[in-house]
Amino acid sequence: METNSTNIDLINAFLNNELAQEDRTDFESKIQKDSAFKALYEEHVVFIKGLERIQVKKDISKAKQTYNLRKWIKISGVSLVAILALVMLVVWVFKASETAYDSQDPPKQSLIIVSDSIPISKSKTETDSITIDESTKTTSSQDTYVTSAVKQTYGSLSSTQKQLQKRAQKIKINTEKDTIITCSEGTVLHIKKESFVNPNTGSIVTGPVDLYVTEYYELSDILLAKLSTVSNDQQLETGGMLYIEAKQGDTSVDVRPNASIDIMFPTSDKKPGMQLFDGQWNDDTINWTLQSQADELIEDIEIEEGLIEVPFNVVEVAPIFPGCENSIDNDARKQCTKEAISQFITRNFNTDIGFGTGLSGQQRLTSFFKIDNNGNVGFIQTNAPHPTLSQEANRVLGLLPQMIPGKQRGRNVTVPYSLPINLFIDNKGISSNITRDSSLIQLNPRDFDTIYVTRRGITERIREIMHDKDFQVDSLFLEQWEQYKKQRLIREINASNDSRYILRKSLFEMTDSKFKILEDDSITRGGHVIRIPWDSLKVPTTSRIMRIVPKQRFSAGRESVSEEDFLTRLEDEGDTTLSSRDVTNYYMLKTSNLGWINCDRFINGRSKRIKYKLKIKNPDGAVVSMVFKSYNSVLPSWYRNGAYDFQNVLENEQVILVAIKRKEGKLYYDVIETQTEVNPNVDFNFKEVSVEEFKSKIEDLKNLIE
Amino acid sequence: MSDQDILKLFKNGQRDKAFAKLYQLYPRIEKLILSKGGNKADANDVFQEALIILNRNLESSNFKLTSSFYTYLYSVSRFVWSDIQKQMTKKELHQLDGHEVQVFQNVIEEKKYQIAEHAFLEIGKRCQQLLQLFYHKAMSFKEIAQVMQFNSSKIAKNQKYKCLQKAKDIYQTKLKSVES
Repeated sequence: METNSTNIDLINAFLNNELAQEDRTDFESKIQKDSAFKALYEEHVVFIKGLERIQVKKDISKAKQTYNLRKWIKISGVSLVAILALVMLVVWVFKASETAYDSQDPPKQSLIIVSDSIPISKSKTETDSITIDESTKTTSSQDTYVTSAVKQTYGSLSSTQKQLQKRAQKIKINTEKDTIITCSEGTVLHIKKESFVNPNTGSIVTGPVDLYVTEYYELSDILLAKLSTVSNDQQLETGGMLYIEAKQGDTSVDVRPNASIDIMFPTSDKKPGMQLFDGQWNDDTINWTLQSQADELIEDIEIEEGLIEVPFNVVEVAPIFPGCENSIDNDARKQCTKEAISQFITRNFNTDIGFGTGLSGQQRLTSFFKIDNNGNVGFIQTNAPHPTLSQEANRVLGLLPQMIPGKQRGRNVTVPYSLPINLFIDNKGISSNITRDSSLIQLNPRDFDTIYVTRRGITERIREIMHDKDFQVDSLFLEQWEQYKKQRLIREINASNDSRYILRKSLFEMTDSKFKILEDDSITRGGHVIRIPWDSLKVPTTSRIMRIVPKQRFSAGRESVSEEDFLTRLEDEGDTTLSSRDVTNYYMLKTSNLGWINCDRFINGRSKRIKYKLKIKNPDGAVVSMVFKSYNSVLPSWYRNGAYDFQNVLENEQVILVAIKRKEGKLYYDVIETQTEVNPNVDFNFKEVSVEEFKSKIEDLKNLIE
Repeated sequence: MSDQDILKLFKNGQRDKAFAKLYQLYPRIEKLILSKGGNKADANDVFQEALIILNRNLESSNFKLTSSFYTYLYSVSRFVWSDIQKQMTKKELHQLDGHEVQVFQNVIEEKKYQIAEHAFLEIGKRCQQLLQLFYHKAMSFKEIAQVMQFNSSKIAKNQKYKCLQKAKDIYQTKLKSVES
């Protein structure tokens, strides 16, 4: 079977004209000599021709349909004209008979025509009713969209409420690619490709989708949106709330069954046991229910396996330089490898090379290489002020020994490594002794990171115009393309915002032309083609640019420090430059639903629960919420029988009561710090505020909590 | 539209448009088949077969259309029909001129391809898709593995080989039953 399979490969290559001249002759003589091979070859040819038939038949049946359609149109057109002519004739005859023979019966002919016209009008009404049907369908789907919008605006719409409502961030994503989004307040969404379905048709959504995300981390945002953190009478502590909606055009789309979106909620103070909850609005209060399969909390940030390249500082198991295997743990091995690489460069770098360059003083080189999944060093690149320096750096890096490859989740991965080399060229007098002091080269591999940027260029543009995402663009074709543009054989025209191209007739008539007239082309009278290029989403770019950027610095108070420095400061309890806000960590959770999403955990009652009811003067429909000082939680109240009922709350908790009143387009508020106790005696003194003032007051309040 | 224009359509890869033009000749071919005792469905099949043979010839480099499309399609259709009816007598065969012999051979050859086509249609849907992607769309195994969700391009390659073998086995048995 093996030989047979290779033979078939060979035959395929021969038929596709992929063989070199020499192999071709070999092949042809093999057919002559080897009868079994010849039989195989002939059989294969027959088979491929049989396969071709299927495609040709498809085209023929398409052509047949067009032909039949045209025939039908012709016949119906002719008959329509005939009927029209007859009707006119009858009308004329009828009119003539009316005037001339007033009292006479209409001629027989007219009767026949009238009965003829009835089925025609009938069919017309039938099609009419179908279109009406369709339009009702579309309105009903629009209806559901409207209700969802109403849901989002929390009940009645007063002008302040509109103003108070947080605006969603709109993010356009391509559903054919995995997407990672970082929202303005730090929420990170990982959306795998083809994650959405159209709820009406059940089919997977392709093309761009608009994502609307609203983040509720700030207390003021939570209070203004009347959000609270209760799940069926149980109090929750929140790690952040989101409202997510995905739309394609006007259609809301859902997350595909069995798919999920990874959500990372930023947190400065990571607490265990966070889970995802879905929210439902009920009488102006939101109730959160635990997402069914969301009980898995992924503690660590996942790194997509598809990427396979994991930077050195992030990779789980770092590549190991020979000799570093015996270090105690991964971190030690990482450190050992780093030092070993630095030492290796220092030892082997020929510093003499610097003298020929005319450079002097401190020189900075940035090198970059990859340790592949076999541990080999490759993809070496260096940026240097002089080519001889980069050549030397590349030479030395090329000498690096094979290492034990890095691992991520148990799989060998390629590890990019960037390495700045500081070189000092002492050029005072050629006669002076040149010391090859290795300490002159300083290495600090931590300062830089590598990022990739994708880029779109002329290649992608050509593919868009050719309507072929795999169109071969080589330098020759590029040259031709530019030539055609100069000769104005290819011309871009901008009609409003859509760009179109005019491709002149001669392009298609050239021998071996790569231009083909496509089905959706429009052709001018002169035979030129007007082409609408593909949407850029259809042509993925393959160009990637690697950029070396300075590593992220961390802010400790007003200072900017490196990651290590930051971590040591963090551990040092006496250091006061850091506040808990500086440390960003994430709760990573998976959701299979959109809409209201909350990252919470249940608060277990440590102390006694009491009934907490509040009576205030002039409630006027004010909304009163209870904010807890020791944890991120907001309780709602229900206004019943002249009192605000918070139901069961923990006793002796430090809380802040926030009352918000909206009246005639104005906002009033008051806050009271208190402790939960039976029969509280508090009252609010409402003050009018603007939205901005309110926000800043609430922020102050939050600082007070912390 | 002249024959030259239709030829141009073929050359520009707009096969379906060319076929649509050629369909205007269909009524005359239909008349021929009806006069020889066939029905409309027969006429349809014959015409389709004639178009396939024409297309195949146009794609091969050493073919030159010496007559009009109509004359060519007419003679191909005539042979296809008489072959179906097994009406060609030895005497008639001997009287064919060189040009006609060529057409007749095309018709006989096409029958083999037809069997191969039918064999292909008898293998599973997934096999069909795989072979179509490889031979018609000229996709690489890597792309096929992606489209058809095989774990690796190697698996795609193995599968393709198995599918091909299956189709060829069916083809061989069919060929034997026809020849006997």
